[in-house]
Amino acid sequence: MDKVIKMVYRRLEELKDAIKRWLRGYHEYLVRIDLTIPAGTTLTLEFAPPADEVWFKEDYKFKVDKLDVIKMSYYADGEVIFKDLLIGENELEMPNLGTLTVRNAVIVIENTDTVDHTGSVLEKYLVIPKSEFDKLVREAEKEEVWLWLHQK
Amino acid sequence: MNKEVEEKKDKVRKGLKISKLPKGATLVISMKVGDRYELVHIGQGD
Repeated sequence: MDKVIKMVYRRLEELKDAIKRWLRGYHEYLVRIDLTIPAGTTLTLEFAPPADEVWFKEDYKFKVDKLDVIKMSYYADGEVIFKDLLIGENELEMPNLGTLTVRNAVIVIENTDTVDHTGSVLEKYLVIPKSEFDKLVREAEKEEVWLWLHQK
Repeated sequence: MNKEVEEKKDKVRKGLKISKLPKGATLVISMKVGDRYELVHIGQGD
């Protein structure tokens, strides 16, 4: 019995260390871009996170000063997330992007009006060091193999 | 035509406010002119 308790205690210590690493390496990052979109103009914003980090997009908001005149498209790592969306709300929210990892984000904003407008892009990311991400990938792969073996 | 494009690019530059970028991150803003894109701004975290 003592042997089992010692093993449980060791696992608890490992868990504590894992939580400390989590607290050290993982953080949130907010990006805010305020811009003027001249009349009849299309702007492209291309964002690339640091190479030694992996960013998970968590939240996305776009605010505009006039409705039904601004069109938006969003691409993550070359994949279309939405395209030519006419902004019909003052504050557009895209909250269900939690699993999207981003190496390259492109936002295309088109002002279809005859006067200038302003808008704000607000993005929230969960950031982890690339090394930690790679470890998580290896762990997930092991878990997948384990599950596959035990399903047979 | 060029003057109009330059004026629009200036407007974008003057109205631009970006939160501090993390080290190693980049933000490139360009403007569509006909069937090509012209560079307006390059931001890099430091």
